[in-house]
Amino acid sequence: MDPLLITLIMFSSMFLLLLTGFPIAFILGSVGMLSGLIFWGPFSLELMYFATMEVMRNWVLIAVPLFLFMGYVLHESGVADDLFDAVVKWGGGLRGGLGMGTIVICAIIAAMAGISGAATLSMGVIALPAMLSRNYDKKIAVGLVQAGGALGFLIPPSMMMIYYAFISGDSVGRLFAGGVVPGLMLAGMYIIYIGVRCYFQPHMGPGLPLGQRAGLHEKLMATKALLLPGMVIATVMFCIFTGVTSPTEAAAVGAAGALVCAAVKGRLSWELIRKTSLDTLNLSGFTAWMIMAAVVFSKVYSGLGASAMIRSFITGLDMNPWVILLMMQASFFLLGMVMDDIAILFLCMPIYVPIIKALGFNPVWFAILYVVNMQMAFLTPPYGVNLFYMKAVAPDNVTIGDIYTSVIPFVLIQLLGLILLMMFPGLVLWLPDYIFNG
Amino acid sequence: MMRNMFSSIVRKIEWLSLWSGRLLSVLVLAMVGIILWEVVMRYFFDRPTNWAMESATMIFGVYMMGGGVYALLKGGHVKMDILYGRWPDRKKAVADLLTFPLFLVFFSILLYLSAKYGFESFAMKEYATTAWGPPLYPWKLTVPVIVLLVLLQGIAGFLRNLFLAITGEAL
Repeated sequence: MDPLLITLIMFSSMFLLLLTGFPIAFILGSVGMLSGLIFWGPFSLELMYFATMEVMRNWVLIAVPLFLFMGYVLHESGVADDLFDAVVKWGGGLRGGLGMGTIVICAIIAAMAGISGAATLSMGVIALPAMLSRNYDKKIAVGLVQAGGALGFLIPPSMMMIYYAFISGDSVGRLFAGGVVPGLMLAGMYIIYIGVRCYFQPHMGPGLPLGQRAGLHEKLMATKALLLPGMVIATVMFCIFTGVTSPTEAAAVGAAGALVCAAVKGRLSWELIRKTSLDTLNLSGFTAWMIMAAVVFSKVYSGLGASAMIRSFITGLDMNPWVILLMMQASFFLLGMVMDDIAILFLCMPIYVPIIKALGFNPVWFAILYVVNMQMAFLTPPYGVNLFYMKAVAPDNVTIGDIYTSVIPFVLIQLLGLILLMMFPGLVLWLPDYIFNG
Repeated sequence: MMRNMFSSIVRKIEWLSLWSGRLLSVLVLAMVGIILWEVVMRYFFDRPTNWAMESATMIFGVYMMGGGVYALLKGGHVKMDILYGRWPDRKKAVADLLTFPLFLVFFSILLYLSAKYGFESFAMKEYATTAWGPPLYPWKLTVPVIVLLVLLQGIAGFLRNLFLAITGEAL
C-alpha cells in the first residue's frame, strides 16, 4: 500500500478522533493498532505487548516519577511561598522588581520540577494577586507568570528531554546541559523586557513606597529559607553534570533531599506523602500509557514503510537543509496549537530525528529548539496549556481576553530566542561540550 | 432500580481502582530508597550492588503502567478539549460512549497478549539472565492484572456515561 495514503489515513483519523475528546494516549494506540491490523496483518498486534515491555523495563524513564516526586514534595513544603517572600523583600523597591523576581522564581521552580505549568500554577496563586494588589498592570503581570512558567521544560531537570532521550538515544545529561544556557537566556530576556518597560512606564509595575521596603536583616532572613532547597537543586545538577551518578540516580538523590527539606521545615507528614505520591502516580500513569501508545503508533507507521518514505523523500529533496529545519519548526508550532506536547514529541521525533542526523544537524541542539518551540505553543491559543492553568487560577477581574493578549510580547521574545538559538547553535552546545568533552 | 444496579457495580470498580492507586503510589518511595542505597553503597563503601538497578526497574514497570488505572479514575489522561470542553455533560457522555469500543478492543487485545506471554513465562519458570537473576514470571504476570484493572475502570466510566446519556442525570 502506498505509504503516502497510509500517512494520510493514520493522521487524519487521529485528528478526527482528537475532536471527540477521546484521551490522546488511547487515540494513538487504537489508530496504531487498527492501521497495523488492516494494512499489515494480525501479527502486528504483538507490537502492543512489546511496546508495553519497552516502557516497563526502561532504566532512563525511571527518572520521570522520581523527578516528579521531588518537584511535588518541594512544592508542597512551601518553597514557592518562601521564594516569593524573598523576592518581595529584595526586589520590592525596584520598578518592575516583583515581576523580574517572579521570573527568577519560575526559573528556580523549573530547576525543581521537570514539568511546565508547575510554576504557572503556584505563581498564579502567590505572585499574581500580590503584584495586582501593588498596582501592577494586569497585562504584564499575567503575561510574565505564564512565560516564566513555560521555562519548566527547558531548565533541567526536564521530562521532555528524558522522553527525547528515550526516542533518540542521546544522553540525558547532555540534553539537560543543553537546556541550561537557553533557559537562562530566555529568563534574562524576560527580565530585561520587564525591567526596561517598567522603568520607562512606571504605571506598568511600580516599586513599593519607601516605608514598605525591607531592611537588610529582613532580606537575609528571607534568603535563609532558600538555602536548603537550593542545596537540593545544586546537588542534583552536580551529580548529573559531573557524572557522579546517572540522571536516574540523581533524581532519587533529589527526591530524598526534597523529603529532608520538608522535614526540616516541619512540613513532613503522612498527609504530604500521601498527596504527593498520589499526584506523582497520576501523572506517571498517564505518561506511561501515552508513551506506550505512541510507540505502537510510530512502530506501525515505520513498519508500513511510511517513515522511510518520508525520510528518503525529504533527504532526497535537493533543498537547503535549513529550509527543512524551518518547516519542521513550523510543523511543531502548528501541531502545538491543537495537541499535547508529549504526543507531538512521540509522533514527530521518530520521523524527524533520523532526518536531522542525515542532514548533519546536531540532535541535542534540535531537541532544545523543539522545547523552545513548545514554550510558544504553551502560550498560544487554542491549545495553550499555560493559558488553561492561568484561567484556572487567575483572579476574577482578569478576563480571558486579558490572558490572551498579555502573552503577545512574551511570545515575541520566545520567537526571538528561538531565532537566536538557530543562528548560534553554540548557545546550546557550548555547555554540554564543555562538560562532557572537556 | 437501574440506578442502584449501575451504581453498585461502578462503586465496586472505583473502590478497586482507588486502592490500586493507593498501594502503587507507595512504590515511588521504594524506588527512591533502593536507588539511594545503591548510590550510597557505591560511593561510600565501594560495594555496588547487583540487584538495585534491576529491582528498581521492575518496580518502575509495575508502578508506571499500574498508575494508568488511577489516572483513568481521576481523569488524568489528557484529551484535547477545544470542542469537548464546551459541550454539556450529556453530550460529553455520548461522545465518550462512541469512542469506548476503541478503548475496549485495544485493552482486550492487550489483555489477551499479556496473559499469553505471562503464562508462557510462568510455564517455563523464566529467570533473568543477569548476575542477580531474579525470576521474571511474577513480574510478567502483573501485566495482565494491570491491563484488567484498566479495562475494568474503563467499563466503570462507560457505565457512568451510559447512565448519564440515558437518564440525563449523573450517577
